[in-house]
Amino acid sequence: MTAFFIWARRFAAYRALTELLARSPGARLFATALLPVAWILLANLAPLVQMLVISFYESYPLAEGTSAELTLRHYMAFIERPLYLSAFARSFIFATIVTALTLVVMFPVAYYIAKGAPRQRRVRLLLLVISPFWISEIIRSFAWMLMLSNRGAVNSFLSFIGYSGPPLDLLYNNVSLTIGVLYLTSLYMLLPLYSALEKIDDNLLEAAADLGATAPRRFMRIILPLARDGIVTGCTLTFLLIVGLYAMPLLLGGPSNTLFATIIGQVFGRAGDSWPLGSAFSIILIVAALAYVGIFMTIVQKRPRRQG
Amino acid sequence: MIKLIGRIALPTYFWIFVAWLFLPLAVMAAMGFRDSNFVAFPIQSWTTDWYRSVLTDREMSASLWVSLQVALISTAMGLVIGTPMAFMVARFTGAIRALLIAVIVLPAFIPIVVASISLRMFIGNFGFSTGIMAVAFGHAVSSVPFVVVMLLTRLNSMSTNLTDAARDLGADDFIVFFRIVLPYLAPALFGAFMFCMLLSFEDFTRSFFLGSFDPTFPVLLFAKLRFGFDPGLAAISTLVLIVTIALGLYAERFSRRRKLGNQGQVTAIGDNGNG
Amino acid sequence: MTNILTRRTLLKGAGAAGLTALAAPAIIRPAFAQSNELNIWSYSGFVTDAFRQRFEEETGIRLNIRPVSDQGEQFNLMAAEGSNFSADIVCVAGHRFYQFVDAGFLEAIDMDKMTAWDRIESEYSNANWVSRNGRQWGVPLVVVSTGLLYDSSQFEEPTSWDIMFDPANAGRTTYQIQDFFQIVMNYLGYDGSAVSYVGTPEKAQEAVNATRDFLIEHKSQVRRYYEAPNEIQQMFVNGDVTLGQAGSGPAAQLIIDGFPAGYTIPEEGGLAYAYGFNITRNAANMDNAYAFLNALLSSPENGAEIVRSTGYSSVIAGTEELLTTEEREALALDSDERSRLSWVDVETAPFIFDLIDTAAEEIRAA
Repeated sequence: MTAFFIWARRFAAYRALTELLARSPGARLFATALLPVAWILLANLAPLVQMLVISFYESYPLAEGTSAELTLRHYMAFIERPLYLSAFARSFIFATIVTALTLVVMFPVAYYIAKGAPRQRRVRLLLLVISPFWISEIIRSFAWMLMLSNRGAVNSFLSFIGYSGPPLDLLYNNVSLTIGVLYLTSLYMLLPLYSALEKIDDNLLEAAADLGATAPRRFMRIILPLARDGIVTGCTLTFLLIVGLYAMPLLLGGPSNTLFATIIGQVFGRAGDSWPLGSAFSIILIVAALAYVGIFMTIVQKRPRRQG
Repeated sequence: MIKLIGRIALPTYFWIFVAWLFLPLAVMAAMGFRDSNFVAFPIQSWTTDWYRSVLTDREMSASLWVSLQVALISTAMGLVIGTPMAFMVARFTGAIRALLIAVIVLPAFIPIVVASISLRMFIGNFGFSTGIMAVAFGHAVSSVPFVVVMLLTRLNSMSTNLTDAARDLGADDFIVFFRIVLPYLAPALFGAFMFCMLLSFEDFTRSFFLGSFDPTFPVLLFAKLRFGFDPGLAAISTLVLIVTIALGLYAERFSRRRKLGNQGQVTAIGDNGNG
Repeated sequence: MTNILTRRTLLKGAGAAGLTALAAPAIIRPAFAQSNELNIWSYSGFVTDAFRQRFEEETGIRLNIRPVSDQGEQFNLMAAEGSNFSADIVCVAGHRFYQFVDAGFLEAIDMDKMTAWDRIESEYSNANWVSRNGRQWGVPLVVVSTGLLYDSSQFEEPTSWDIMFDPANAGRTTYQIQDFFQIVMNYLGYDGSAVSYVGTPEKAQEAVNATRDFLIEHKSQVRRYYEAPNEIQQMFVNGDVTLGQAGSGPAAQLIIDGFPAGYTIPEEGGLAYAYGFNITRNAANMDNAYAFLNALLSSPENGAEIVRSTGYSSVIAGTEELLTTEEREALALDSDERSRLSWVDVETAPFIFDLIDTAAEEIRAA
């Protein structure tokens, strides 16, 4: 590949371009930033602005022959109805707990793949662990129903080993929902953790061991600090994912596990002029989740940055 | 003693985790053989009809092909946009950086239904028609945040010594990028690639709203699922799983063999970056 | 199933090299306004493979079918498309299609072109559930009732909805909140159709609030609220629930498959409505749309195929004679049960459903 660029140097335009880039940091920033900035404006912000506008409409999509009036009533609906607030709080508490749980469950898995397993097997193990995610989320949820239902695999196994009571109600509660969500989030936690752990220098760990550092001490003083970026990334992704979950709580949760995103989905799901309400709720969720993650990141990253 | 824990406990834990991942899928694979219109225990009589019928179902294979095209196009878009975006963010610190990251990860926050509908209206404003490209665009929008975040994690730890040295030796920016920076990012890029492919391949909502009359695999699956979860859906999902695992292993083997030639170089760069 | 579609899709990739080449056909595909095509959004099973093949061969019109699974889904999609709909025919004629009419998404049916209208069983053809503002807005295809599905290995045929609220069955019941809501209004002595509340919205609100509070109070009866028909089927075959409010289609499918289940309309009544096809406002292939709808209604054979693929009863005259005894038994309700069904009143629906939708969210969030 180097040969290609050396060949390209024959052309004045290429030389001029590389020299400009080398000389001027501004040009370099422009070259890297052009595409991303255009994308951010068009793909990230424009649809959001559209949603923000809709959230202030009295009704949308507009029925024939009516015109839009602006109102704050959809935001007020959130504050006025304690039911929405409780689902909202439930979402954040649930997301926080399951994020922490995912981290605890996935850290050893990521550590084993990145550091424990022989080097040449790492990619294969990684592929193995992420392969279930090629199957649709809904199908995976149904697979869990087959495991946990009253005539499911677990209950069948229990009666096989001699349990004779009535089948256990394992489905449609917080536990089954947590299991299903954990199944989904494990991937989002694994990949950032893996890429952070993978780059920790083995020599560093060995040196520490040679110097007499115990395993817990090595973990607390070397591995954990060095994996911090990965932990923060993984937790952020996982948290966001859970807060936005819509379908899975419907499938695996019980009648009292309704999360806020599910309510938003339901609002959009009913045919009718309910987009402003759904949009207003979405804006509330986005702002709250961003603030929550922002606070989390500030706290975690207050400690001095490690130099690369 | 502690070594023993590392040698035994860690792998044991890992394989228990793998079992937990695959047990429900194994149950589903078995359901594909159930001689009934519904999946449930017990399986009283077995049949291979469901597996046979989905293998010859042209509607299914057409939708899988659409999904594959969408996944490849959206992954390419996601990586091409996400990589420079990560570099851009890496140049900033403090409040600007935080703000940039917040704006970039926005699509990951927006409830999927909302994001899909607003994207559909948005592309309508430009007269861009629905179909494979529109779905791929929608998937790229959702995967770029993940690409950026994953690449940033690795970029944070990259030392500039190496790139500076290369520049001093006369390498231009393109050479530095392709020969030093990209290889260093390779593990993160691999992760991002898998992420993009997975996100695209299993997405329903965006595919539905941005798609046209050629349904992607999940869209077709949903429509069929509504009128009963028959063992055929378990069978086709199992087959998809098996094929993707096989492809993944083949690709890994293939790339490992190719890498043997220049492995020394790549590792050397990686190690320097770590130091 | 989609012979032509499949071949076209596969050809698209066969000669192509590289990503852009793969994608090109998708970009440059012309607008759908072509005389020999018809673009349909349909629930799975409403346009059967067999019918599709016959129709395409006979007329030379190619059907592009897009699978949909929900009314809200279609509404949002049409709203997002603006007024330039990609479909000629959509699949919304149910109890909530008034929203599509009011939003200006549909074209009224032109009875002069709808030559096969008299092939619809008379019981259904002049019913008012597809009319609004004095015009017909859709063609009914299947009739759906909503009643009580029960595990017949545990219960004798129940006669009352009481059983859903019997503490002995706590945690063993399921329902789709919105569909069940009107039934419970009737059960509690209110007017579920809301016809008698026209002009007195405060009375309607009172009835809805009381019903909502009743359902929240009895939340412990519920194992889970469901959304799609497949979910209640899975809950039954998995033994998670033994009682549920269900549509006739999913119930019939379970019974035909040999699962010990029964379906009945208890004495406090059940609901009935129709599903079918509607033509979109300014559809590009209007003539083809009528050709399709006329062809679909013209033969009871089509009706029988739809019954087998969906489990719903067909409105096409003569369908019943083509069904097997078992199929007829699974689908049929006796005359008493039929008399207990009330048809959703389309004219009052907008007003009552608004209240019910909000109440449903509150029940869920409670």
